Amino acid sequence: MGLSGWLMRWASVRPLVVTGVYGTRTRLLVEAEMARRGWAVALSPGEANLVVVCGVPGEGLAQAIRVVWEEVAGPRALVELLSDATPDVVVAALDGAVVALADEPGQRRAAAEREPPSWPMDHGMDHGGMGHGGHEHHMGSPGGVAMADRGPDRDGLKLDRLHVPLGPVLADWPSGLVVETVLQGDVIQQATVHVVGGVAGGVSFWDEPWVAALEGRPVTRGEAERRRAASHLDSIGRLLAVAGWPSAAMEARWLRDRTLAGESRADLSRDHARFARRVRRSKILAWMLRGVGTSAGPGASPEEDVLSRLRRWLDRTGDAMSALDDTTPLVGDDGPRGPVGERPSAAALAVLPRLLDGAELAAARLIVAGLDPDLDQLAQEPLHAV
Amino acid sequence: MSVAFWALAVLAVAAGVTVFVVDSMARATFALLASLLAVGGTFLLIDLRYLGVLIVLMMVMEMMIMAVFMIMYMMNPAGLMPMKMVHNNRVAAIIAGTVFVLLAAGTLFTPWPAAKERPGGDPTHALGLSIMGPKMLVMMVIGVAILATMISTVVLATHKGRYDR
Amino acid sequence: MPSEVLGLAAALAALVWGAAALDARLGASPQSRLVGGGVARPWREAARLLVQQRRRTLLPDVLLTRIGVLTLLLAPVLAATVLPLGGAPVADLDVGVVWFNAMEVCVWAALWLIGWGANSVYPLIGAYRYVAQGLAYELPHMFALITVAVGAGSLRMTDIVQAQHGLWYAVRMPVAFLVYLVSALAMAFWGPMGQPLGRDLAGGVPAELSGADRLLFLAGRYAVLVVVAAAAVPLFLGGGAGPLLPAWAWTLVKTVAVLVLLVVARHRLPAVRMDRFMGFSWLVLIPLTLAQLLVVGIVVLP
Repeated sequence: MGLSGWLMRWASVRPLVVTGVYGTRTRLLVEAEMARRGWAVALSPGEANLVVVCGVPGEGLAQAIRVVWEEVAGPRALVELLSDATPDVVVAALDGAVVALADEPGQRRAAAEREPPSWPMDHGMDHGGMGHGGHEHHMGSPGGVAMADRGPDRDGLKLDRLHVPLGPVLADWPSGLVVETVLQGDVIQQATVHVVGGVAGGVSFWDEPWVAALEGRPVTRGEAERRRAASHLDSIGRLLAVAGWPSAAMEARWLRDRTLAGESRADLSRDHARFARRVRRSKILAWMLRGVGTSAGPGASPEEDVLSRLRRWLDRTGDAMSALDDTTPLVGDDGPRGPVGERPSAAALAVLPRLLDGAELAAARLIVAGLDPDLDQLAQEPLHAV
Repeated sequence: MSVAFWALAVLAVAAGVTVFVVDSMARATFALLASLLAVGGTFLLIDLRYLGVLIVLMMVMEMMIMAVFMIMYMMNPAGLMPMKMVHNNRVAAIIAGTVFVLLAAGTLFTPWPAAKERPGGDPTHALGLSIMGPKMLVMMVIGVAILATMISTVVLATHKGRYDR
Repeated sequence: MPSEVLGLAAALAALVWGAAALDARLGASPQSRLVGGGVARPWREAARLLVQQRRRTLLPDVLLTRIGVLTLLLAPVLAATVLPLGGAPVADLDVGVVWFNAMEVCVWAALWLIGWGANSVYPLIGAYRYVAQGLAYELPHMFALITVAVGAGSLRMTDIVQAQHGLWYAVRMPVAFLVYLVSALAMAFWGPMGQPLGRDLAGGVPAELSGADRLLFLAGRYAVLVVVAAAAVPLFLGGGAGPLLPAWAWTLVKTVAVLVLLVVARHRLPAVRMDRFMGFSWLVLIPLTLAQLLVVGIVVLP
């Protein structure tokens, strides 16, 4: 017992973070605390030993989380945090997870009680595709799961195609978004988009200052610009992570956390300028992002590629940072993703299937990250200016 | 030495048989690879190190290119769906039997020259000279030409490529 | 002979840990770096994986996965046997360069087997990406190796080291050296060439591995990185040649230098996707390496 107990105490923690509806604020607290502790995030359930759920997941997402939790090998821990968790609550919850992970008798009991995975081995035809969500991306089986069917390929061949859902739980992905794809090799032949589990009635964390101003509460422009800068940095971090540049993504997220923590304008502007220069100068990044996400279809309006979106985010973050000390009251409703009342994220999701058609999987991930829809905007009730 | 030879020979044949017995594309491919690696091993035994290692290198790459097609044409991995690896058994058996008889007869009835002395120097070099002889330069030029043709065909064929670029 | 084997094993293990520690240090968040986070992470990660249970996906091909993981661990070790560590290599093959190349290609097979065996989309696509990457980098890489062999007039690693007395091949054939560095990243699916394990694929090839399987996978991956870095030393950096220090020390210093370069590159450069790199590789790198081969061929022609 001695050795494994010692190893369990010494073991690193690899959290997989899932965000429910209106969980963004809690997610940011969790990510900041994880960065402070030096925990590297897990990219898949296979890599994780801790699952952190931020906010209350809707029904579809909760089901996906159950699948993910079943796929995490023990010793493991689960932390559920509400959308209004305070920093202290987050710290206490993560401390609790560390204790639970090192608790050898407890983990042994949990492992003994654990049921064998509930795969639909003998269920005949009732699997209903693969739409479990979560990481239920296993392929067809003779056990009754749908096999890949065949269809014409874009090169005029007839190839196998596979129905694979991307999301709702995936690293660096808007939690809750599901893109049902038809894949041939790694090329998406067809994509449909839906969002699992949303409860209406709240306000997106990123839109809060503008919504508050519309409702007549006093908000300074500086506060709103701070939120805008953090929002763009969050999107930039996600895009850079998907683009395979983790160190730059980490820098963006560090800047984001410092912005939200209320650091001074001078420090933030200086560090952001340095960061933006580094990202802009990367020729490889420009080479990889140029032309991704433009719609090539006939009659389609020319759309900007992921590279220009990234550059615009960098610009807007810089602009927002120079206005952090502005104490004039906030006017207008132009939030980080556009007018907050018009649900710009819904429009982004509407163009997504067309953009994804014919994209290679990596490009598809970049396209989604380049739009970075805020799913909390979708659940929002229509706004009425007061 | 002869123990190693027989071990490799049995491995090569056994892995070759496995190709037709297993019910998964991936296993069949890698059984074939194992068989070919055993053949590469026999080359090492007769001091043809360059050819032996080259067989290992080329066969692994070849199987990986087959694997690309495997994923392209059929995306059900791990051999979930048991597949028969043999088709058209009668004709296949006849062809295989005929080829085997021909090759075996060739080996047995060719009047192989008796070795007068052990070849000096690098056996690979000696083998190359005795096979190619004076046509070595021609073959080397043709080799480069084939490579150039392959590269330019691929470049021309992938004008647009599989992906939107 | 036993002392060389032990030396090789010890050097490999130490360098694997060193590379993992440096990578963890560079990859640690700025906040945790202030309090010294990072260096212990490889140990803590190993501890976690040692106590973690093994998991299974739906209908995996366990046999092929195991073969893949073992091959990933064995191939770099076997490749390292032809590398001179100062003195003679463990196995001084007269076809050392080809042997190294063959073992490196076995890594393709290893990754492909792991990706296929899990029966899961993301590992499979990761494996597919790695083979595509192989097709993109392998030809320029082979031409770079052939250039070295032509320059030295031998495929034996020790002869290649001997031939560099006076001037390193990194200076005499810079294009081949640069192409080798790019292909070193690609062989070890590392950093900018690490998309087979991409974040956009939920970790790619090893996404479904946990516990001991993942630990072996990571060890093998770092071993590949160390070995491709170490191979640059006899091929391009004059082997153990250098003033004052003994040959083994110079070999170690140069290996560490290349290794640090590769690890730092991971944190400086974004990922390269094969749908774009393939064209560059075939249209730019192959002609460049062929031109380099031609130049070297003309120079060494008696």
